[in-house]
Amino acid sequence: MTAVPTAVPTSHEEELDRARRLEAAWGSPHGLVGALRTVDHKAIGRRYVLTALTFFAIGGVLATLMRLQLRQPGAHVLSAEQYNQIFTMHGSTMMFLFAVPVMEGMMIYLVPLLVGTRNVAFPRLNAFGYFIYVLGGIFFYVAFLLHAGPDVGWFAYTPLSLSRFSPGKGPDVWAQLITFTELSALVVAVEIVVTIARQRTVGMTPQRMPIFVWASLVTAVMIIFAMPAIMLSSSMLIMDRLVNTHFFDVAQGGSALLWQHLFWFFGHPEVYIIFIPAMGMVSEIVETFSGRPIVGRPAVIASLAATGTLGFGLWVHHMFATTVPPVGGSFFTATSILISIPTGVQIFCWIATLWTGRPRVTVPLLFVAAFIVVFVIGGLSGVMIASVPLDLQLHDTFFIVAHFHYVLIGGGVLPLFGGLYYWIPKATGRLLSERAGRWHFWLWLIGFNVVFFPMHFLGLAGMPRRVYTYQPDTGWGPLNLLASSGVLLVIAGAVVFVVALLRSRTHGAAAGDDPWRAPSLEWGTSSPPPSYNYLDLPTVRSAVPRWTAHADQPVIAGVRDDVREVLVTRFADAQPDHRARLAGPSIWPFVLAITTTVGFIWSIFDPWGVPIGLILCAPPLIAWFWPWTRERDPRRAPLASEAAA
Amino acid sequence: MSARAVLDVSALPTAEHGRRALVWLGQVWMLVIEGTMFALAFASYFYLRATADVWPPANVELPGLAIPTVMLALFLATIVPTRISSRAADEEDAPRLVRSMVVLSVLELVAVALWWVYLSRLGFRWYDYAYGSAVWLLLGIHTFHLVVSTAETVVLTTLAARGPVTRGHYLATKIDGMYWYWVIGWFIAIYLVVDLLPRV
Repeated sequence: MTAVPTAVPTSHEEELDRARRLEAAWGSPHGLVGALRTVDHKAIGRRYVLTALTFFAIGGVLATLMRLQLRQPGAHVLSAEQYNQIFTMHGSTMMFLFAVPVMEGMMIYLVPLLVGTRNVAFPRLNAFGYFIYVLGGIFFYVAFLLHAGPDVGWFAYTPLSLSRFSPGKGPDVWAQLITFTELSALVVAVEIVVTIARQRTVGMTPQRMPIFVWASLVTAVMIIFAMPAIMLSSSMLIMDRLVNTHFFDVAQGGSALLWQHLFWFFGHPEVYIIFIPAMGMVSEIVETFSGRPIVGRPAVIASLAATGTLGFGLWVHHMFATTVPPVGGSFFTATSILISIPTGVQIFCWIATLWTGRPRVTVPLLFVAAFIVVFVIGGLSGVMIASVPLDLQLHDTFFIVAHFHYVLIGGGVLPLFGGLYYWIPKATGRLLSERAGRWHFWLWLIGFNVVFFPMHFLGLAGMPRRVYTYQPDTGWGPLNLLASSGVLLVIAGAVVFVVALLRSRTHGAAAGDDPWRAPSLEWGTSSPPPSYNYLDLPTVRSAVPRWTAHADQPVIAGVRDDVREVLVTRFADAQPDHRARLAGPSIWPFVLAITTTVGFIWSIFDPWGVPIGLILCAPPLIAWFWPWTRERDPRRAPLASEAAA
Repeated sequence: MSARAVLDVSALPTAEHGRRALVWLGQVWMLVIEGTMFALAFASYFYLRATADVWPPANVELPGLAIPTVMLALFLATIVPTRISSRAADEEDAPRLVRSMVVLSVLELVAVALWWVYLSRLGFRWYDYAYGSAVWLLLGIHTFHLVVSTAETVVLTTLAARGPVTRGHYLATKIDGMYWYWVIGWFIAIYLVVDLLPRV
């Protein structure tokens, strides 16, 4: 269908009336039970981000304990066993409970707003995904506090993680945490892909999609192809431990290296699953604060897609120290070096945008600058260890620890903070203090480098990672003390951020709809956005719609405002296709998450937990899809022909 | 009172039961996820096969060919009622939909029963060497999808037979059909790899 824009009269009273009807249709239920029933993507996105930041803080406390232990030779803060548990918990928390979920939360919050729709495609699935994530995180930490924490490293290599070498429940707890978080990530990925494919507003063709939306799409597709590998392999690990299969047991014809292949087939794309949304945030921030459309937009988008594709061709570079054949080693060296090219292209595009624009130096842009510096250092050390001979020397040393913290904090956390300072005013209606933001920025930039830069030299000097202590005659003491002292600056920066966030709720300046003069759609609605996101669903005719809007740019009319209806558009030309009804609030996603959790935990102790869990999940699943509101839903109403009959 | 330009979409249809529906696309991606999992399980099978000295181990009795071959024929036969029910959904022809779904349900239940016999007669278990683990991994994933898909078909058939048949039924029938084709596709892969390949 091609609808023809027409001019219709409107009035303030009519708009108020419409807002009331939309709020009645889209508003979330109140109270505690209401909070468990809500399917508003903004509420769920906020929960993801806040929960993930809480786990980030907990992971930071564990890191602090490790740095206290390593500050000097022969310290006695932690025993060897405690140290093993804590580095495992730290890595698993940061990867599975912080970095990926926080990016998912940002996507869930932002994507519907950025594409101009009212909710994600599968709202109840979205709610289910969050509950699974948070229940998985709680389960992981309860097990840790009950002395059943894993101690086999965040990648749980076999044979160490097999029951012969790790009796107890630690690796099972770890493997089941994976099942929880990957299930959650996969449902998020599906709803993000479908929302982007079919719910973009009229005129938002793929060429005009905001770059963060492109980044979200690439990330979601990567999750869909990467996460099954870890769900499969963690299930195989649990089966080896519980029902005596022999996938990884060499004595029975299995292969310990199969674990590494499956793990890194997921594990390497995982890095890009964290990094690509962050790149999307950087592009949005650079564009807004340069005051001009991003330079080389097609190149930036192509780079995101290329990174997402190449990210699947690198996993063996984590395994150079195993029996990789020389040809394989050369191939994976080449791809590992190749992947720096698309990132380089993006960095040049951002610099060119800033160079040719009129940059306004704000806290989000400062974090972008910090990202570029820190990430380039991490990228360069990555190019170094892409080379097999050097990697063999540096494998499992602190050089690697330094490298991946530069990549992950530089490429993930610093852009995330930029994104938080940029979008929190939209979510809360209050600006964060600019002065506090600058303190946070400097404390983190300096503190981070003080902690991690010395680790390069420690690694080159031969200090292995994952040792709980070292001898004085190694000479590693002074650099370790320096690294540990930097933690104080990082903690101070984090405290400044939390205080600024809390103070902004009461003392922050009102943000208004658009505090940054930004080009994308979300800045056209109120801050915080109403439950229905937009009173008038916008249409677009450029990649920077708010900078190029004409007075005659039409808004969409004819989408019902008394029920949860959204406009579905065609993928390629973003023209209207049909109107679809989205699901409303429901308690059943929460109940299903509880029964799923019971099944997952039960199956650690008894294989019967799997069928029992499946049976327990059936009633809430049926209730979830039950046509309770047959008369109000056209998909479920009898057809006209039958009603007549 | 002021005037503003609008794009009126009120004439658009409000429900789709074909490939344009959001949930259709959602189901496609769910099957991509499950398919990736299946493909990696096959990759693991071949990895273990490549690293093993003997595959299958000398003392392992290969699964019999008779039941899986009958099942293959049965699966291929189910394509006919699946196509008819999907076409009936497109044409909103409720009586034809119910008839084809009843036939499909019966055939799928027979397939589940045959599969149960096949599994119970296998001469090795998942704890018998890595070969047993790798084969049972494939069989296990297939069992899960076979049972879930059959349950879905039976439930949909019951609901459609009770009536009234709604747009939701038509959409669900098409999605169930897509899932069933997917189950058949992976069964053929299992037939080739588990049942035929060790014999050639």
